[in-house]
Amino acid sequence: MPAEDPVDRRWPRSVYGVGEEPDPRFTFANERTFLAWIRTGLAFLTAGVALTTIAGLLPGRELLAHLAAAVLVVCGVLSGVVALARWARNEKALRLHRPLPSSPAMLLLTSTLVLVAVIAVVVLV
Amino acid sequence: MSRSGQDGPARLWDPGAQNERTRLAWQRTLLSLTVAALVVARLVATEAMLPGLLLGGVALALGLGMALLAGRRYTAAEVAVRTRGQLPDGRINLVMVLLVLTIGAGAGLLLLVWS
Repeated sequence: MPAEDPVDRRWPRSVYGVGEEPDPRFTFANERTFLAWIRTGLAFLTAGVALTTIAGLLPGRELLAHLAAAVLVVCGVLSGVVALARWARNEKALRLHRPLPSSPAMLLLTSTLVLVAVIAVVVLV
Repeated sequence: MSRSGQDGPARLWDPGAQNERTRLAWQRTLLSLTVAALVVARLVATEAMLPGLLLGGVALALGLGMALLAGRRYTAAEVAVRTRGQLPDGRINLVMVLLVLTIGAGAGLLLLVWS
């Protein structure tokens, strides 16, 4: 018999104010997915910073290196924002027993990563 | 081995395993967060020693603070799972994203001033 539910004051209300408690396993999995997005964003940021610092070692291509670094930093920040947005949308879908929403951001970030990697190979080799 | 009151898939579910995995994911993430912040702080230090050191100190303090919060989250979730109470919410998630944005701002700044 579940304990008497106290008032739900959890944030955000747009998520916890609707539906019912999902299977805890799904909530935990959603949280781990959020953390994976955060780690992805941090990896993008670290790569952008690393590229910035070695841009000086690439004579004649410094501008391109800085550009690529900027793209990586933007991807990092975007991943962070996407992390929270997707976590909230997924949690809400779980609570409402609806299908999980798709992620166009995933395609965008993957394509960007591949593009930057290809340019890096072409420019550095 | 039988557990009273449960049968089928419910019997196979270890109430603590998912929470533990999530806790470990938090530890991995906070480690990445602290390292990324320290990298930015270290690079700032080459341009401006004192601000860089200050940022490094803040990064370590925040990393430690978040680790403690994540530990409490694990404990609260453990209790919630076993008493069918409320699982922790998304406040700390918002804090994580704000920290990532802060590091992003630092990275952007480095991009502009590094030579």
